[in-house]
Amino acid sequence: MSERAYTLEEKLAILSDAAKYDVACTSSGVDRKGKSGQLGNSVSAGICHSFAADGRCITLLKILMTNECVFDCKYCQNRASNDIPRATFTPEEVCTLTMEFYRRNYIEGLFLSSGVRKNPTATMEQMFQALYLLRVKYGFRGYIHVKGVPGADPAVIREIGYLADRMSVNLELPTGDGLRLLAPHKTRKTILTPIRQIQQGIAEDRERIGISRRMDRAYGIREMTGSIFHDDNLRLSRNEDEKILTFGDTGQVRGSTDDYGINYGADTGTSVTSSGGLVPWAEARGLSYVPAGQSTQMIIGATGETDYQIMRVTESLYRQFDLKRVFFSGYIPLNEDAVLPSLDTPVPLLREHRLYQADWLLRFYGFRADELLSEDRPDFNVLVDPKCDWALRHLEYFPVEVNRADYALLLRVPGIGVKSARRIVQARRNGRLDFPDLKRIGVVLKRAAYFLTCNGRQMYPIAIEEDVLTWCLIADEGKKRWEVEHPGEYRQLSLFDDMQLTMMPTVEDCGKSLYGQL
Amino acid sequence: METMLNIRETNPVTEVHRFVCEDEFGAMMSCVYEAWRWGNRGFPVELAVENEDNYRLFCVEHRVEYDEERAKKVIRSIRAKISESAFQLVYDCAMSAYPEKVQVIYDFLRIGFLRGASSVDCLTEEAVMRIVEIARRVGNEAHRFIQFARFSRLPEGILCSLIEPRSNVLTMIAPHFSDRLISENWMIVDKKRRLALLHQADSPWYLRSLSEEEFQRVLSFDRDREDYADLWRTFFDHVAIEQRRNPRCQSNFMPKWYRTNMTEFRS
Repeated sequence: MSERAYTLEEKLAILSDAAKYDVACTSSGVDRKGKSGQLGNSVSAGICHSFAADGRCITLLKILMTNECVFDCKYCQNRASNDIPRATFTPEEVCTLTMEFYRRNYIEGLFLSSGVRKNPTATMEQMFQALYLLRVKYGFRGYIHVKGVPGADPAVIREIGYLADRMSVNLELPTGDGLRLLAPHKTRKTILTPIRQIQQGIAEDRERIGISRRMDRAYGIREMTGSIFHDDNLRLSRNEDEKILTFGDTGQVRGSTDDYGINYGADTGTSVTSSGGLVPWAEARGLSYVPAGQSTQMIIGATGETDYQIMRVTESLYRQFDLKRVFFSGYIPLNEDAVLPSLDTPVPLLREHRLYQADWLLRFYGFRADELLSEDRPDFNVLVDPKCDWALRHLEYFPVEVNRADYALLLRVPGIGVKSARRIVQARRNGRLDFPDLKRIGVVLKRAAYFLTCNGRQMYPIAIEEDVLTWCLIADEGKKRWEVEHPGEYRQLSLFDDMQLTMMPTVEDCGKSLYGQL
Repeated sequence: METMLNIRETNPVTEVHRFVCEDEFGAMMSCVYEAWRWGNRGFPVELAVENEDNYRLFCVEHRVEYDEERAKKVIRSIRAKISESAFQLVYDCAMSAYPEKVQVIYDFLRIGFLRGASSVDCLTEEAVMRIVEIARRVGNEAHRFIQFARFSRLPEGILCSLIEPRSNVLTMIAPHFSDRLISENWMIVDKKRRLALLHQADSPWYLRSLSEEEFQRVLSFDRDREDYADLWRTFFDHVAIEQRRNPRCQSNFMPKWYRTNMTEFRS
C-alpha cells in the first residue's frame, strides 16, 4: 500500500477521518497567558469551538500524523490488514494547519495521534518533530494533546511531554483478555508502562513547581471519607487495584521479547519506573511536563466485560495512576472479523451514557464503584440513571434536610448537582431555606423534591418508598433515555403517553444529563 | 439645576416618575443617579432604556442624558460600598438586551447599598436573583462568542470577524481575544450595533463605531473564499461519526442562530 501524492486537503480528509474515533476532545486543565511575539493562550476551563453533526464538541484539530500502521488491532479502521488510502502529514503541514486554524478561532489547539509507522519509537519521533516545531519555532501557546504510543522508547515519551498539555495512552479494552483477543500487538504491560512513566513525570514536575504531587480534583472531594480520592482509600485499595488492572494479562506481546518490568502496585511516591531523567532544552525554556494531566480511553461493547468490571478498572486508574479523565468509546463496527461483534451491531449509546454518568459520580460526587454496582448487580439500570438507582436502594438516607445536611450528603440527592449543592450551602448562611427559596436560587426540584425536606416538611405528601419513587423517576427519565438511544430522530408527542411521561423534561435537563450534571 | 427644582415642585406620590436613558452604560449609570435622588424623596420611580415600544401612560417621563461625573460617582460607590463582583453584575446586566435591565439594576442597588458586600449572596432576594440570572445569561452569550466567533483574513492582512450577538458582548470578549491573538492585527464587528472592536498587534484593544463606508467595506469582503475556510469545512465534515449522528444534541450546544456567521455552516 504505497502512498500517492495527496493534496493538503485530501490528507486532511483522510487523517481526520482516521482520527475521529478517538473520543477525548477536551482542552481543559491549563491556564497559560498569551505572550507577545507568539500565538495563543490556554484557558483552564477549556473552550469548545464547534459541534459536529454527531453532537460531539470540536475543540482541537484532531488528526493523525499518519494512518499507516504496522499493528493489526481488529477493531481499528487503520489496522495493517485493511486496504484503505494511506497518507502522512509532514511536521510543517501539521504546524501550518494548527496555526492558521487557531488564528481564525476554529480550534483551541491540536490533538495529535498516529498510526504506528515502522515502529512505536520512530512514530513518536515524527510526532515530536511536529510538536517541537509548533511550540519552539512557531511559538504556539495553545493547547496540545498528544497520544503516547505503547512500546515507544521512554526517552521520546519523556521529551514529548514537555511540548504537550495533555497526554493519553489508550487502554483500548477494559481487560487484558480483551486485548489478547483484539489487539495482539499490545498488552496491559506495554500500555501501563508509559502511563506510569507519564504519571511519574507529572508528579515530579508538580513537586518542582511547588504544588501537590497529585492532580487537582473537584471541590471538596478529597475530604469526603468515602471518595476514591481520599488518601486512606488510596493506600487501602492498592493491592486490589493491582489485581483489577492486570486481570487477564499474561504479559506476552506477540513478536516482542522485551521485558517491561512494571510494578503495577507502585505508589506514586516511590519511583519504580523513572520518569526518564532530565530534558535540558525543556528545562531551559521553563516548560512544564504534561500540566493538564493524563487521560485514557477504552472501547465498550466489543468484548464481554460487565459495567462493574469497567467501573472498577476506571476507579483503579484514577486511584493508582492519577489520571485526569477516563473516556469510554461505545464500539462502532468498522471491520468484519470473527472475533468482533457483527457489522449491524448498534453503537451502545445508552450504556456509554450510563458509564459517563457513573464516571461523574466518581469524580465529582464522592461515590465509589462498589456503591453503584456489585458482582450480583454487574450492569447499570437502563431505566434510571446510576445516582437515582443508588438512592432507590438506599432510602435509609432520605429524606435529607436541606438546612442541615452537609455538602457530601446534598450531592447524593438525585437532581442536585454540584452547582445546586454549592448554592444551597452558600444561601443557607443567610437564613433558613424553604422550597420556594430553592427554586429561586435555581435548584431544579423535579426529582430532588421526592428526597428533600425543608424545615422538616416535604414538598409533596408522598411516601418515601421504593416502588412509589421508582415510578416517579422512571416516568421522568423516559424521554431522555429515548433520546440517547435514538439520537438522529425526532418524535412527535403522542396524546397517549407511551413513554410514561408525566412532564416533559426541558432541553436544559437533557443537556445536563448528557454532561452528567445530575 | 433644572431637575433640582422639579423635585420640589412636583406633588409627591400621585404619579410615577419614569427615567429614560440611552442604551449605553454611562447613560444608564447617570439614569440610576437621577432616579435614586427622586426615589430617596419618596417618589415612586421607574427606569427604562429608550425604546419605541417602551412607552407608558400615566407617568411623568424624565429623559436623562449621560453625565460623566454622576456616572463615575455611581460606579465608584458600587465598587466601594458594595463590591467589585456587584459591579460586574451591574455591568453584565447593562450589556444585555433585556428591556427592563435598568430597572433590574436599580432594584438590585437598592438592596446592595443597604446590605453591602454580602448582598450578592442573598440569592433568595428576588432583586438579587434577577440580576444574577440576567448577568449569567449575558455571560453565557459572551462565552458562546468566544467559542463561535470566526475570523477570516482580509486582503489587507487583518483578521476580521463578524458577529450578531443579542447582548452587547464586544467589551466582554475583548480581553480574551487580546491575550490570545496578542501579536495579530484583528477586528470583531458587531453587525447589529455597527460597533467594532479593534486590535493592533501588541497594543491595547479599543472600541469604536464604524462609519457607513467602513461598515460596507467590511460587509463586502467575501469571507468564505479563503483556502483555510475550505480546509476547515473539510475537517468539520470528516470529523463527525455517521453512526452517531445526533442533530438534536448538536443544536442544544450550538443553537441555530449562532451559525449564521460560522465558517463551517457557510459554503
